[in-house]
Amino acid sequence: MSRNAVVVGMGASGLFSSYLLAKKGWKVTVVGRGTPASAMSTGCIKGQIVNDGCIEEILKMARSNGMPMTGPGTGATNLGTRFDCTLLPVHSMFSDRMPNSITVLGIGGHPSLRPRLTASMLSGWAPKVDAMTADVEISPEMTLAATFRDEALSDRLVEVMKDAAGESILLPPMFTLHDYMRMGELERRCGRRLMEAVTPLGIPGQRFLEMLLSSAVSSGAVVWSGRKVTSIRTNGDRAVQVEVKGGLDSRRLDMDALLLATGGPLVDGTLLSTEGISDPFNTFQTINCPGIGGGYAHIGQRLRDRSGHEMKNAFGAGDCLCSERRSFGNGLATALDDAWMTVQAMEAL
Amino acid sequence: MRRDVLVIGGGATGAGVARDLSLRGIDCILLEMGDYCHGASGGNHGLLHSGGRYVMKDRSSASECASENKVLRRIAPFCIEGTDGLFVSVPGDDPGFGDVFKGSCHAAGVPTAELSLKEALSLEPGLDPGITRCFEVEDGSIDPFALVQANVDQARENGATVLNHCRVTGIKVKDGRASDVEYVDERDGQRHEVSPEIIVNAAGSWAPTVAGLAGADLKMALDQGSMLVFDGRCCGRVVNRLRPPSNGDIAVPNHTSTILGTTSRSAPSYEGATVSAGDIDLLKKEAAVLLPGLRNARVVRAYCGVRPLLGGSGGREASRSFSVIRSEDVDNLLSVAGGKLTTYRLMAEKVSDQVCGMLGNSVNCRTHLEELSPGAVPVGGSIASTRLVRKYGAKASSISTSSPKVICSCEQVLHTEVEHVLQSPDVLTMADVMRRTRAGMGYCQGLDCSLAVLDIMVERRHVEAVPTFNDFLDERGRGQTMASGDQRRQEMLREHLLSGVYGLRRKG
Amino acid sequence: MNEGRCIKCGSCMQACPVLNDPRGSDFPGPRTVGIDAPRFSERLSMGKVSFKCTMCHACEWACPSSITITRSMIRLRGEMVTSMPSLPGHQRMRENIRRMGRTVDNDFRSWKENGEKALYFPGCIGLGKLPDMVSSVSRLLDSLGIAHDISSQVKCCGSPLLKIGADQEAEGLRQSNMKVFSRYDRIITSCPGCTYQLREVYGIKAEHLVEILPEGRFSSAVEGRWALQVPCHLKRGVSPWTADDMMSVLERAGVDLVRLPEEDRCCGGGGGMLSGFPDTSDSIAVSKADVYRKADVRGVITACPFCCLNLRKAGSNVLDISEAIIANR
Repeated sequence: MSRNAVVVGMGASGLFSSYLLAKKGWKVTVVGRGTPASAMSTGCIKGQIVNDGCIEEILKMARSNGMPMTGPGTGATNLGTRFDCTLLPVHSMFSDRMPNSITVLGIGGHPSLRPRLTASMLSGWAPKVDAMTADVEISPEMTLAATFRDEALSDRLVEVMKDAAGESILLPPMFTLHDYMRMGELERRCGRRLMEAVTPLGIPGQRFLEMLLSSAVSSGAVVWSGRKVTSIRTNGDRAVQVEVKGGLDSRRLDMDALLLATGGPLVDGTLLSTEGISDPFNTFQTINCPGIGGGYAHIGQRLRDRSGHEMKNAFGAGDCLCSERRSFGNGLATALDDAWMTVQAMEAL
Repeated sequence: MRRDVLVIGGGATGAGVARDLSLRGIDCILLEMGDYCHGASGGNHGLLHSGGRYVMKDRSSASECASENKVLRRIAPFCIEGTDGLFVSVPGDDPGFGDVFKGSCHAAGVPTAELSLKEALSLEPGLDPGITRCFEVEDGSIDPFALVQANVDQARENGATVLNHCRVTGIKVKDGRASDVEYVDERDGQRHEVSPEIIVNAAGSWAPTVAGLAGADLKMALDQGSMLVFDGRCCGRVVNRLRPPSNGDIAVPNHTSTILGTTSRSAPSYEGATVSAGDIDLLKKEAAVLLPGLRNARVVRAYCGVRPLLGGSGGREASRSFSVIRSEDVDNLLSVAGGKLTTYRLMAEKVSDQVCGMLGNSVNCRTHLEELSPGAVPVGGSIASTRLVRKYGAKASSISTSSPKVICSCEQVLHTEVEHVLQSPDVLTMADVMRRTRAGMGYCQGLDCSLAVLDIMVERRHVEAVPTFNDFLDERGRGQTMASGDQRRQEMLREHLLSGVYGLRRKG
Repeated sequence: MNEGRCIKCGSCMQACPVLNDPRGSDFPGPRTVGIDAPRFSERLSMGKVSFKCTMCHACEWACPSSITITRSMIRLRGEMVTSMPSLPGHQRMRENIRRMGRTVDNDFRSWKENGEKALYFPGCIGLGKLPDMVSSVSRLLDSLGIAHDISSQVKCCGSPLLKIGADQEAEGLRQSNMKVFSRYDRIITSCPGCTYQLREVYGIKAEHLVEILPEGRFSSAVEGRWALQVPCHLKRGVSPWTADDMMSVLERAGVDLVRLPEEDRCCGGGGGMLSGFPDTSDSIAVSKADVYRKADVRGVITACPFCCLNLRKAGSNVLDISEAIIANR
């Protein structure tokens, strides 16, 4: 028997749960505008994932996608970069020992890593930190990923890095999942240990989402990006149909289970049209769903209906489960852990 | 150190006095406790008045504005946008006011012309289509930071000493005359002394405090005006409400924003003035009557300026004129009160005339003749390089435009521009950089560029990153307490980045 | 007009195919051109590099604040085009249109002017550069039972002019085309750029080939593994559903499809790039072709003449969707 699931939201928890559900035989359609807040994250898992089952799944996914991670046999908390990474002590991940000296490398005024600022912030913590800037004329708007697909610029960078004072070099993130192996090549050529800076709003977050998206697609989930769910029809304590708008057309989709993973209010979240939730931005997308109540509130992984009772087949995952008081994302670890738990709950249906 | 004249306060008035005196060959020193324009000179509309606003209640102020408007356009064209302005009435406004206004403009010498409603709406499509009358006047917008800096520069070229970040901490008075003035220079943290013949107290809202240091009593009403900065130019011309001066009736397009003001209520002190949620609602509601688009426009920031008004209880009834008060207690202390940005030069001239009288100097004023920052010509190539002249006048030519690195995209600020500004010993803080370059004044309020500026300052000045940055966040944060809508999303993103990545958090 | 919603997250820049190409470094980026520049009274001083955009809408889709960045850039182009000389390629294109009503010389001879109810509107690139594709679309329409004309009288739809800011010049084309269109009940296109223009500017219900395919039943005309190139102007311009329809039509026909993560990334051909900045356009296509080569596929199936042309130039084996399937009777 095939079970139809509709997942709303294309961020970390939406895509991860779509991947898990599709693997378990659900027919999954994931609907989202394709602008997830987790793309703004650092793309590294910093927090602790609680569920062992979840850790296993993530590692499996990461390995098959060539997603970098620190150290051999590592837990999922070191996922996101194969090279030691740092920006502040809270984000530092060192596979064995802390380097004795670090050179922070900025790329010619490019905004992805402010070398002197970073060095001065690290200085109270690492033994010896200095900063240098690679004198490369590139536009600050350009992605570094593109820049260093250019061989001449790579060669130039290697030359600069050979002169670095530090034992280790902290680089801005500039390698997509697609060409992450180039970082290893760079390390061999300059003969220094490389570290990757954990910066948000850039390549690392993109790297992570790319992995989640391609995993979801290859496990069979249908991705409806650039579209939004405009209404959810309920029947008693069950959500039965969604209406999805894309361009000028709308299509309807029947479902056996619904999962909301629309994220919190950092970016436009999706708000169920109910009273009692204040929208600080006046800009939320609204889903018309007279049968479901509570906006972001939840019991366990399940949404509630208007009278406060648990819905049978409507779930939430990730940041959308948090109350509207929370100001920004809880991080990838929570999003993934939560998605995993929600999928367990859906399996029990 | 002996000096002829000490000017206290580096706003438009103080800088104007220093320029005026130095052009007359008088030896003077100016001390500013913060940065130039950090008080009311920076906290205003940036409106170059045509005089129209004052024709009804204060005809002499109106005439002064009208003539000074012409002078400033001539001597400081680089920092002025001759946008022109409109006075517009809507249904419900006193229908007879337009004719009275027209007559009063004529009497005060404020050039004005009535436009047909069709003309008005085609000139300014954002106006409410239901407007009832419209007059055109010669309003404009002016960059007060660039203007004051140009005054400072010219004063220095003519021999004046101008020091910002120098707080006057004591004034010794002997036989009814101020003799020695003590100040602390923030650059070295040391106490210094200067012994002037005459002190000009142009400290704006702080003038009573300065007078108090000399044991003199100065009565001044502090009146606060709240202003909103909207993202983008919501109108092409200055838009005024055609009615007696009231709340939220002037919108000024300035640089990349529209500044809307203002309110009027008394303030306990400069530091104690705050914008309330009520002020914001009131301003938006009033302005949307003329420019309906403002109702949903993004408010980037709310701030208030504090008008140092003459005597009385302040408010809208208080005169917007100015006066020079010679202290009864301290013979060589002149205090300046009241006034407007548009008439700053005239005020400076009056003050300087009086100073000259006291010194027995008979050289005439030349400030209306000498151009500020002459020879400023814009270069093209990009938005950033075209804008340099507006901010730096003739000095723009010494900023390299060969590298395209833009560190602030909302205000299109070049990396080389920040480096240029940091060559000046005047610049100590990130806010100082911002006032000169506008990096941090854009709609993201320094989300990205502040880190770039900080990085450059760590390199060039070896400043300590975290305290320098926190000062800046505090400064910007003051305008964000009432942020809503998109601006609140912006602030949340900032918090997310700063605390999540750099471990920085705004105090409080 | 919703530029004021920007929170500077940089998502648009990460998504931009031009900024992500080494030859695109002088493009000021979608944020500067589409969001920041309109605020400045100095905006016209940006120069021709601000035209270095393929109008692929990727920035718009990536924007968490739903800012219509592309529309804003088109508006700016309209202002700039009057204040600076055109790029040589754009000038050539405008002259071609003035001279012969199309952007490129015509290379198609099999006109069909039988007074049918439907009109197939292949667009300039199809007629001028890909006559085989036009024939194959026409054959497919026939086998679907859609009798149609291909009129020699139609001119350029005006989309290229709109994209380079010269939309004033497009009005004459619209009037002339509308005279032809008035004779038909149904307009079918195979170029997403034309579809968008006919719908948005002409206000008529043009259909892209991909939109009528879900009605039919097909079998595969190709062997081996194939990848998709989902045209930007189709998915993000015409309708997001077309991308899924394209895929499901091919899968149901039995084409062995490999899904690649960047299948809907721009080929570099749109928005006047092919004529205005051929180097950058080429460089973007070459890196796309590289992805397809690494994926070890026979070739790429698309539904846009620009994608066809540009990716073929870069060395990919490209088929239009009409060439990859055969209708079952």
